[in-house]
Amino acid sequence: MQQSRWHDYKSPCHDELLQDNGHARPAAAQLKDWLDGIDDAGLVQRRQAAELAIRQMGITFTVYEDSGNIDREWPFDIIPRIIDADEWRGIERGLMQRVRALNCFIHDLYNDQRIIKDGIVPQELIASSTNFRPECVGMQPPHNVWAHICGSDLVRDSDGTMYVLEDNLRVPSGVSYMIENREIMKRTLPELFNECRVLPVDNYTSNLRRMLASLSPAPNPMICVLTPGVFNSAYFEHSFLAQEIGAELVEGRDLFVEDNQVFMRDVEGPIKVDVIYRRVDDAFIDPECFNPESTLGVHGLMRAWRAGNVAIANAPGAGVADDKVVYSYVPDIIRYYLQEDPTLSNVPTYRCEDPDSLAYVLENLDKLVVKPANESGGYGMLIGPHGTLQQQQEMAAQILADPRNYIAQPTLSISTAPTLTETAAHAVKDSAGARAASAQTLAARHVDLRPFILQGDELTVTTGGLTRVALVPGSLVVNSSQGGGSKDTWIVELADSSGDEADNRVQQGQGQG
Amino acid sequence: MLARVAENVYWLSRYLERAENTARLVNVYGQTLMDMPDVDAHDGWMPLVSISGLDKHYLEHHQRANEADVTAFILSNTDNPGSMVNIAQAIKHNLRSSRDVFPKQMYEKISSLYRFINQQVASGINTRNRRQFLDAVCRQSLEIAGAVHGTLRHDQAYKFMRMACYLERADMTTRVLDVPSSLLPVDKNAGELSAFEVRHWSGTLYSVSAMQMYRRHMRQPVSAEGVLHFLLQDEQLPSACRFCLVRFDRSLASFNNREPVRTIVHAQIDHLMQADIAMLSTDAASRHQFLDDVQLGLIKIGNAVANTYFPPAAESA
Repeated sequence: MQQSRWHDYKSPCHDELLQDNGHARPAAAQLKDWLDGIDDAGLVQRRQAAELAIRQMGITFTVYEDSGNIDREWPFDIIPRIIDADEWRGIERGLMQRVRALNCFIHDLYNDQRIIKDGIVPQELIASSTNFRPECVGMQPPHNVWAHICGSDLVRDSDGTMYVLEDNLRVPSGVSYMIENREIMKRTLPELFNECRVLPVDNYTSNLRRMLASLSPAPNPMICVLTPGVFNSAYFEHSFLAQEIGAELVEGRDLFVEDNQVFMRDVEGPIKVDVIYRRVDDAFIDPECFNPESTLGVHGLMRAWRAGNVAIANAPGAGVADDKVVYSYVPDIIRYYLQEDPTLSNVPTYRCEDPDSLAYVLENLDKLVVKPANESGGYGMLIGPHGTLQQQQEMAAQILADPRNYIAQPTLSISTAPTLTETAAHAVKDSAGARAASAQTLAARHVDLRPFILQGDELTVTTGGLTRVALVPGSLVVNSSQGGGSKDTWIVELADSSGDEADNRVQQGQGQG
Repeated sequence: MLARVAENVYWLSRYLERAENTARLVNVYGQTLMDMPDVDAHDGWMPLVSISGLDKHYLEHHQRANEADVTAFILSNTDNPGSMVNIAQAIKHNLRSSRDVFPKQMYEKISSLYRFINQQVASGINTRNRRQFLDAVCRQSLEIAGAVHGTLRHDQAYKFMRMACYLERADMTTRVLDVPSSLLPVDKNAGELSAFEVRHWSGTLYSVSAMQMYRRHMRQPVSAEGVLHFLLQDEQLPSACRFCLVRFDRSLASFNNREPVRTIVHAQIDHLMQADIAMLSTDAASRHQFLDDVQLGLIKIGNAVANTYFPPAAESA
């Protein structure tokens, strides 16, 4: 009976759990055994336990609909996505390398612009970037770091290679779900944690606190998380992070600037703020400097920042490197600043501003993925093979109107992971005869991975990251606003992969328990 | 603590207290009426509407004040600003903006309370299951109060929650005491309470969880004078107005800039203690006037808190 759960399982590409021969990948062996050993009723129970945990813990995200903002419970699949710790260590090194180079790049752009003078990237790239902030020119933020928190999206292609799809350097979100997913799994599949060595993820928040504190000379700085407010789609995360790092969760109206210093309105008077972890986009943080209509920001915040009296993470202007055209130069950027070869692969990218590329892209719209350079959340993109002719034509017109704003990439065969789905109630034969039950089957769904990298006085990476899964069959769109869900990501240390004998003994002891 | 968050925490606490008080009130009222077979079945529930001061609003939409209409009005009517579902909504709203203040378990308890209220009301409350529902609301509220007391640091957020709770509770006590006694049959034998009136004042005590404490402490039969004294002037009873104001003052003690609020609180305590209880127990009109003044005093205290500690132009949630 258990066998049937895998019977129809078929991945059109690389699968994160199964090898081509149908056996589990080594790091996922225990998970596969567990899945083979549990019956439908057991799986239903686990799924319900997870749903209950999500409701109780209040893990929500907000979607905008015509009828108003609605808090949705976090869509979650109880089958974890597993990555071998050895592979992960390589990815981790690559991510650190990438963020280090990107920060050198941003700092250079706002200061000497050596990379332009040396002809590695063209001047026009900056001149035409909507995220380049002239107000930031000449700034020397602490540690020369601008993008303190980076969320990079990784996908695995059919040959098993991990590619970086994009680097989110503005206000990347999702890390709270990564941490809460683990909490849900501990409540849902506690016994599996005894059987495999799943590395913990909860050190992120202490790393975040330490990183933010490193941006201020004060010994015990006052840190705030600046949120656009309760109606923002990521409000849950803002509140979660403030709580986890012991910061005040503030809105723009809670802060004011006097003598180029930032203060918050406490019940007993103003309190000076040293570090702001802002979850408000550049354009809205200071109506005095950027969008004058903004009610989310703080008047004079940029003055205070420029005077060095407050640290802002991510620094204003850091988004200049969060641009899909800049993305295409990242391998060159790494070589230029670090004199190293990139560890992680970039997806080959056609810049539509280049006439030859433009011609190729327009010819091959049915094969390519086209993305606006400055959008996030999966909005405004065309997945050629899934698009209609009309959608392709519309995209062609948009590209021609503003080539600088578009890039195209080959459609990757993004890897899949088994995801629990319920097939409609049907008769299941068992020893007691036929009875109606809903069968819990496993279906291959496409997944990506968003690790988070922190850089302050030092660099750290989350253990794994947030795995997002496209719950719609065949879909490649993993964004929660568009039918995506998530899975817990397990970085699993194999018993014999560690050189440390003491660790091995611990593992063996637990394995027998 | 942030002034804006202080305001959310304050209102959260008021609505939590209001949910518990409302649940208890409806519960007790239903049970008291069972022992009053002579009350008009069609209008016997009007006093519950009057307690929330919504007579006019209610009568615009209803002909009668029977059990079904009044309980629906108080529990599930979304047009009634003080209905249980709207209280749940206000709890949700204020919790959302102050979530980071609370330990996670406390957050889970509070959010399961408003989800419970919404679920139960949506699936229908009737004479049979009402008591169970209301008891559960009271029980969950007590659990939350326990979690607040036992896990939240007794810092400013805690103090704001306490102050809000005391004001809300004192307000409810005055409202319950102010239930119009027009329904009570006029008793010809002055000085002797009719059985009916004893039930009325007992119901008052039950409504604020004070019956047993009355017996233990007052050691006398239930009387208008005894109940008025106990619920207005007792220093140890949690639902007594004086207790609430004295404790409010104690919570206020840890704040700076407290003088404007404190002056009003002290004046209100004096007002309570100077009451001529004997007179109030017999003269319904002056009783109503006195309780009205106490309520206005509580509103003044609430406004002084808002002006002193909350952001300007604060929308009272």
